[in-house]
Amino acid sequence: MTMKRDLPETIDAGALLQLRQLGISYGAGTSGERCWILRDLDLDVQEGEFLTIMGSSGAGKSTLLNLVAQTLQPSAGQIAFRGKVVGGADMPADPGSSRQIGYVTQDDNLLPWRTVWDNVMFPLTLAGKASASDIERVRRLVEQVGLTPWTKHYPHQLSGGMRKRASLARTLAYNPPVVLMDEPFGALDAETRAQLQADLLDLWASEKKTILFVTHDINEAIALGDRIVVLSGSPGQVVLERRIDIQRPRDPELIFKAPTFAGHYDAIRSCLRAGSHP
Amino acid sequence: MTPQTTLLAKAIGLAAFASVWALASRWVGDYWVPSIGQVAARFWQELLAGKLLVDLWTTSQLLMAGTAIGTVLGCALACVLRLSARLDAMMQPFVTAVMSIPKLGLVPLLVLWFGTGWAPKVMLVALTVLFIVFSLTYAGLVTVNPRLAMTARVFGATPLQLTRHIVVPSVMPFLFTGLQVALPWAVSAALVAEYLAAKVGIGHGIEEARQLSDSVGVYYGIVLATILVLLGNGVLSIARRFAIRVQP
Repeated sequence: MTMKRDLPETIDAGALLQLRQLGISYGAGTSGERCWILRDLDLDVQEGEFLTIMGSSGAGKSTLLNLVAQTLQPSAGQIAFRGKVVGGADMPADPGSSRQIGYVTQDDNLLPWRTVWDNVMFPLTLAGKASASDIERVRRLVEQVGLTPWTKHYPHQLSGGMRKRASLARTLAYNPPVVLMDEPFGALDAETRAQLQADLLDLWASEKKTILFVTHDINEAIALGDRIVVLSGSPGQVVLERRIDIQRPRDPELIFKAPTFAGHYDAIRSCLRAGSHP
Repeated sequence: MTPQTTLLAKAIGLAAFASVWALASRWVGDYWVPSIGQVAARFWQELLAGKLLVDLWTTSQLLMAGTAIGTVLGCALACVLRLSARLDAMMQPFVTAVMSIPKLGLVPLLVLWFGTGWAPKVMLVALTVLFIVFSLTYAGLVTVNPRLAMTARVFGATPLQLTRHIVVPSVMPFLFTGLQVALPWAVSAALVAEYLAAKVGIGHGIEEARQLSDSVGVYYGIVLATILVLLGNGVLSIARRFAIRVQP
């Protein structure tokens, strides 16, 4: 077992987001007695990268995103953003303090008492008075996700796919460099999902975001990601890291036609299987 | 249902009610159940004499003051208990005990403490409203969706913004339901307070009529009190529509 190492105040600004020795546990006692969900996790995410995260259920995928979003406080290790340590075992979790991270969760989490437009504008409302150029940018985003005719509607009047689009537009309106997505398209039908995947790739290309995308769908992971990491085990650790070299622009629906697809698919699947039957 | 059929249904209901009243009056006699005509005539008479509006206004003032105080205190208590788990654990048994005291039973005590002025009356209405509003507001605070709160925090919401944009809109429907539940109880409390010690007001009018064996006067007062409840309900539903823009 690795003992606690001394961690530096700052980390060399190589990657945009750096996770060092990251761990989270619950329970009481010494580190050996506690129950670790993630432990000694090291991960670098480059600026503009689309990283997909996979793993057997319970491997800590969502927990990892919650740590990066700072809605959970790590029990060990550090999180650095552009070389500056923003989260760690000795820093109380303070989501939103950095204003650098947007989070699209499994549920759309739209505010039911706000219209689509007011929901998308919500992060800007919190930040103060939105400038005319901000409003213009949000108008373009809403246009891009195809919700322009629905801006005056309330979330309960929309379909699941449209709510997801609104949720996506809201996060992009916040304009964070890093967007975390936790199985955002999991609950949608295949057709809507394929459309949203394609739209997401377009938005990613035009908005130049860094995306950490959790999914349990291997096709989706290959279709979207520049790189896939697979978490496994208890405590969860990175057990596979694989670069997806399929050329862009990609068509998520026809991704299986890519020549290297089968190789990636098999490698990831066998890794996931090994994880779920230890 | 179309608006026409709704209106028709209401008309039929009203006609049925009026017929039962008229039949009852015919069968048991004017003294026990005065006719609708007599009560209506009394309304007209009291309206011309100016007493109707004075009574209605006096009781409304009592109702509004008591409801306002009870609502503010009920919300405040709910927020304080919700914010501090320790205080909650400490206060909950006490709150439950005080809640189970029948408020109308406190009238003699309130009169003993505060005399026969406006204070004991407002207190009684406020106490009645307080615990109903407290229960509903507390329930509303407990059911605030933690995922919405988390979303707002990730977007950098301050505690004040969190309260304004997430907590208040979540609790609003509960608060209004509490007020609507409390309204008839609050009017009852106001009437009972006025039976005991008042010189004007709907309750005073009913009690005075009873002392004079004026059954028409008693009926007039009861109908007037019912009208007050209906008016209050109307005001609340309009306020609700303004306060809660969308009701999915």
